[in-house]
Amino acid sequence: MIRLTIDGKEIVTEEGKTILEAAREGGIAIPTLCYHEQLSPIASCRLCIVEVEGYEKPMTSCTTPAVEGISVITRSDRLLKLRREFLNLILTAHPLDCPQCDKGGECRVQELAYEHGIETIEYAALRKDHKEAYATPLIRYWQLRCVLCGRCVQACREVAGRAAIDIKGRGFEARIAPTENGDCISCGECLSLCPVGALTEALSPIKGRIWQSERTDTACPHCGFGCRLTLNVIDGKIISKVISETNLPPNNASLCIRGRFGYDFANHEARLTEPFQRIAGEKKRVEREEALKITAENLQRLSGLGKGIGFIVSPRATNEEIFLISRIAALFKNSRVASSASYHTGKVAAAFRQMGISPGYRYDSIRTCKTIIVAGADLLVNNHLLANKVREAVKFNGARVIVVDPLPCALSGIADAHLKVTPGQDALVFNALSRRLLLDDKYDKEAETLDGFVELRQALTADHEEPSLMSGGVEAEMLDKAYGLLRDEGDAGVIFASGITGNAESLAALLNFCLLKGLHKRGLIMPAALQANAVGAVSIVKDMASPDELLCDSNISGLFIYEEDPFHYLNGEMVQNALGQKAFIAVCDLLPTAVMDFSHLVLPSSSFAEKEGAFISGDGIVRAVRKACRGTAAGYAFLNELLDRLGGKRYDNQAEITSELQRLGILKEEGDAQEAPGIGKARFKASKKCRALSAECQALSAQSSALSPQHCVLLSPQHSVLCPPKDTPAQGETRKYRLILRDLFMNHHLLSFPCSSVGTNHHGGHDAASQHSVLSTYFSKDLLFMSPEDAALLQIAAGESVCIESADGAVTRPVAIKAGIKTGVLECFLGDTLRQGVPIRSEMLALSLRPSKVIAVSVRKV
Amino acid sequence: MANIIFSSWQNELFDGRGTAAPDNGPPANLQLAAEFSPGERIKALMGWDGIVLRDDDVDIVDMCAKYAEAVQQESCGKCFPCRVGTRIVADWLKKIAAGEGKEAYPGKIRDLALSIRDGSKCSIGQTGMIPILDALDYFPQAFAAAITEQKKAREGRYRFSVTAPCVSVCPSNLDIPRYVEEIREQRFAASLATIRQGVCMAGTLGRVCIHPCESNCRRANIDEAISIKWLKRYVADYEMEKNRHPEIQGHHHKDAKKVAVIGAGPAGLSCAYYLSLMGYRVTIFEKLPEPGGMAAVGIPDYRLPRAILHSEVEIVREAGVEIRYGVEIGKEIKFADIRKDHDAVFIGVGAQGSSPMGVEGEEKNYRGFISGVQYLLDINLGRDPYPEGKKVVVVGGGNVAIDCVRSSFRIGKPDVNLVYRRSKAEMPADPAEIKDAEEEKVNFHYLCNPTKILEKDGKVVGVECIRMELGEPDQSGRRRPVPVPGSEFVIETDILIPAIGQKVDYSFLEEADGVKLSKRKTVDADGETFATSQAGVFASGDCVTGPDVLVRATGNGKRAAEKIDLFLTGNKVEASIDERFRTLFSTLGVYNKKEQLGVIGGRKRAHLPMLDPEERKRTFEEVEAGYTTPVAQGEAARCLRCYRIGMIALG
Repeated sequence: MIRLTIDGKEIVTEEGKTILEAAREGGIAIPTLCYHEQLSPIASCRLCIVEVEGYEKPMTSCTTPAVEGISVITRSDRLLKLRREFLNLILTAHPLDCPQCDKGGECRVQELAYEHGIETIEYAALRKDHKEAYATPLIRYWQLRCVLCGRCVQACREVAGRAAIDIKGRGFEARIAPTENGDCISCGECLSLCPVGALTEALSPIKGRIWQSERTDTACPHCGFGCRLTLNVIDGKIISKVISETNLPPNNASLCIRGRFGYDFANHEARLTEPFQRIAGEKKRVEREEALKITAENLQRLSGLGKGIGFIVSPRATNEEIFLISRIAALFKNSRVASSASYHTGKVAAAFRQMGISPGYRYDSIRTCKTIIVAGADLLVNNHLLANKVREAVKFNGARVIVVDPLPCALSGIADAHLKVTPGQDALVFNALSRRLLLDDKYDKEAETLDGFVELRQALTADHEEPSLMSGGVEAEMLDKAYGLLRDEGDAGVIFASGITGNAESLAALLNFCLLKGLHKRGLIMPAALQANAVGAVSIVKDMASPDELLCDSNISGLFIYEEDPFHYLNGEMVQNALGQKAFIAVCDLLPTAVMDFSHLVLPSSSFAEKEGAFISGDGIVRAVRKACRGTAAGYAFLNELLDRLGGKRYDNQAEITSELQRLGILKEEGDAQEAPGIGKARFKASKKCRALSAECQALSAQSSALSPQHCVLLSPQHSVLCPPKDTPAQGETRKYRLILRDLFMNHHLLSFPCSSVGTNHHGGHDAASQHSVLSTYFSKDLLFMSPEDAALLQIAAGESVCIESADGAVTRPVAIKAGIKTGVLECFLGDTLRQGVPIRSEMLALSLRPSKVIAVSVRKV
Repeated sequence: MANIIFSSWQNELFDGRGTAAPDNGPPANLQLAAEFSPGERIKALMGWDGIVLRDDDVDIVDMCAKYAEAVQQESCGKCFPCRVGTRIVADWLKKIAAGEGKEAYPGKIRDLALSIRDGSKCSIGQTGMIPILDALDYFPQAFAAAITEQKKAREGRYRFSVTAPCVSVCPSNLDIPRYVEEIREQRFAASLATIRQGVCMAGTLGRVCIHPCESNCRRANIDEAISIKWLKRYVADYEMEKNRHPEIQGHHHKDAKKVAVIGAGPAGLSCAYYLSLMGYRVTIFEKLPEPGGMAAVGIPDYRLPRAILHSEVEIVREAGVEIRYGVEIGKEIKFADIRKDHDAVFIGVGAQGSSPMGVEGEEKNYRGFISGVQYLLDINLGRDPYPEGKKVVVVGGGNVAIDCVRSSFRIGKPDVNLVYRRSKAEMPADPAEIKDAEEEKVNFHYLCNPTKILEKDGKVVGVECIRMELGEPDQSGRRRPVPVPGSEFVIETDILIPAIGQKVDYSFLEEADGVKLSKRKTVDADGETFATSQAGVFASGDCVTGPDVLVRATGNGKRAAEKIDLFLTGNKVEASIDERFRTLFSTLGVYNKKEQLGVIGGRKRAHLPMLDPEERKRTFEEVEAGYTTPVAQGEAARCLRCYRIGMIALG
């Protein structure tokens, strides 16, 4: 700790802090414009200048270290004169169009000019508007308003790890312009940190300024990371923008393209407002009361006939809604509840249970890792904030990154080793790493006490030579490099997603490796959650079925689908056939979906902006979903009344359900730790921080608190580890290619209503490091990609069509070429179905009757 | 500097305008060349440290307006005072120069210029207003007259260039502040690309450069110099570690002219690389089976891992250069044939011959008597030069001598000695290297000199030395060692390694080739054009300078490439404008060690983690680990970005 005085006040702070940080700790305000806590100092605005006794020149406090014993002055005539001069210069190059500026009322320059009493502008210089396009059509750049503080550029580099924008031109001609690398992923970090109105959201036609809007802090409804965001709502009903400038965990001020721009479905004109029945293909409006009656009677009737009742619930519904469904289901003798959460989070939970791994972890612990493996997770498409956290670890901790993925992904550009594994063979890679730990005697010795250790060691180390097949298609040199980064590193972490859980052996091998490395004790085992409340759904629903399993269960005759659309992620033919077997189907959703065409009754639901409740995010933290728009939470109300009508308990408010969930051990209260309130402006109701554990897991961790982590179990590989798994293309096999489907579980509300309808082709020439951007899934015509090597082999030029054939179907599509894809692999972004009028999603899903992210196909030129 | 009539350079005022004889002369330390290029007189200088005037007819108002415009043009736009403020200052000055000035302008310019000087982020703004403020202070009548008479200024002819203290002394002329800033901005690939504009051996120089830049770093005036060398290494390593492939494009026409480069050392590689990027077809002829020249031969792996050097040579190859190994000119191919087959030839051989010590028995080829360069070459090629030998005595005090002793441990020699005729203070080797060798427990024998090699059965068994004492300083300024009569003593040894200097082996040239040699027996090439006595034959590197530092060889290799281009395109081969400015600025001096920056430092440089001496002395593994990302960024953030602009009026 060091001591210094600032404006005569003694301040004690840590060594390494800047004068600005020390001053703020001591409650001394220094005016700033370009400084932002989330970014390294930029020092462009020069407003934070201070004087230090004994030194002649003023210095920027944001960059000058607080040094033991110095005496700092933050306010003096000289400093004030300089600050006023600089503000004058800023305003010389900034139009006073405040009356029409989105940022009016919350603009840093407005505030500073006001605080410093700037009444006239002494200089004049005419600035030329270059009228250049911005890096993304989702954001509008007002060049003349831009004060060149540089926050946007810094945010792009530091937070998003991109280089999409830069300062172009010199001197007075300088402005922000897109770089030539097409690196933009439309994450909007630049937009979020702009202190003036130079960057505005280009999506909503109406904006609404601070005093015309209500702002509500809520949870993002898309992926399972659990971002907090703030909805700016006009007239109590229209979401005009999403903001994230407040420093709330876990995302702080960051969001991804979907969180920031993916809200217009909530405002959409096609929103369902009333229940209707479908009778012989005709829609017939029914009253709500009638709809309740139809639902209750049909379900009871079928149950009475001894038929099963099935429920498919969205992992983006709130805990409360999922809980009500589980209660309703419990009223029927023969019922099952399914959710698409079962495909990834459900499998992770089951494996954790089986192996005794406690699922609790914190995003913050990523930052302390020195080596991070990211396996089977495209963090651009889903959980982009996890990629940001990994980047933070690199930035602050010098962490090394190992990517295990056949495709280029969010972090392959900064990866020290990119293990391009053959799809489905991740088990071999992790087994190879485990084998080396065992042979080098570098594993956690306590692992020897775990069940299964002897068998695992035997299986993995039986052969003296490392079989070449064991590399899973990874170059030996890369595997060596990756192992070198892991071998002696105690602070390692493993982040994984659906690329791993798609294959049970891969998941087991990955978790075995984690246990051998001792990561369950020190380090990090982090499955990404794909949907906003996947963890909530898996925790609340006991014995969760998968939707395909449930649909094909011939015993199930009555079906209640809540905010899910199986057509979105399952083979259409299979779903359609299954639905044809059901006697009664009710669907509750906020927008028309494909499954509604096959249902008997359709009920309106509400968007996340109208709901009150909570999600459990990927990190196990309960995050509040707050009502931001007027209107009832129609779905929730319907479920509550249905439960009542069927003879269940009636819950009057959300708190009752919360305490019920706590009583059941699904939610665990962790004191009343509150999330930090935002900085002024927006008002937040802090929510109680709960830790969620599925009942089984909690039971396990309770009993194992003394034993853990010795209570873990290693899984013996089911097949000989030295043999390639079934999924491997065999010699002479006709379907030698593997098609990987990206974004299978994106929010289907975005699906029918893409979050942007701006239709420019923004697919620039990407360098090998940033092979694709999420933007390309929105704006590019290209959705299907193959490696240049395969393209050359098949004599396919970019844009030519290929015929892809699987065991279950065939599709012809134009293909784009992308460097960095492993040979023998095709990548397809499912995105929204209706792009270019051709439903690529359903076409691709038609290729596999079995739900699968990876499909064996043959490819030929047409 | 008698013809100077006014100077405010470095705050030392000299005013010889008008009739009155001033009581002081122009500052003694002011070194301003009379001519910029032959026939182009320098009439005035405006720059970071003030104004120097040599000719009365320079219109100071016009020059100020042009200088301010130059500042605005060089302003990076990353801070408000410089970006907007210098625009306004330049506009006002232009108005005055156009005869449209207002009375209030000089005062307003002065106020704003002071704010820009005190508030700008980097030296462009901080120093860019200094000559303008000086002009307002010392030439008020010029401004007043221009305004009251509304008179248009006389337009002069000017040139300006940007420099920085570090850049001005870099023999490879690297844009150091830029690549350091790009590291701070996490643009590592961009940073490496910037470095590659000047050198193709970033990873090598990032390890072994003698970094004159760091001795000229203004940050040292407030705390410690930036570690420019290690930052360079960081970005070079980053590319390798992240498995990135640099985008290097050499595009050759079929009928592109052909250039032969002799020697795949730093000078040759550099010359070949840049020629190839310009589109020439370049072939390097290398005597050894591997590339690097003295960088490979003279620098042990623990300082410069082989893999680094190889990856850099790979980049040169990717740029389109063909390298033919194991081809010795004069043996396999005659120099004359090479000349015949190519449109130009570049000689970039190193100084790999050993200078004789002048002791008895030296010429007898005893087993165990191995020259320093040969010893290192053998080790670098993976051989123990003399496995039977256990005890080693190395003679000399330069880097080669230190490399020999430190390498000896690493090939398992248990007893390693160094004999140097002066004391430690005079040793020319890098002090850091000396310290490392001391830590590794080399026995240093200072103030003694070999007199006789002792042998038995044709093998070295010892060396007779004589004690020395330091006498009067010699030409180099170091005190001359003088033998103490009768103080002879013997050091028993199996291996004796002379490492007192290298010379050029020019046996590849024949008399008939006509390439003239200098008195010092180096290739006689022009210092500016690198042309030898033979048309189309150019040379640079150690073969011209004698043993010199790597960074000069790479720098001159690149400059020679530019001259070869001039030659091959039929242009006059002469120094470029940039080179002339470099000469001008380096004579003038860009770094002022005594400058008071007036700001607080408090951020010391980051050091590299190093292996323990006992561990490292047994391995050729690299001794120092590089920076991690956060450390590199923190180090880069210490850069003060000392760009500055010098403008000259020409007559």
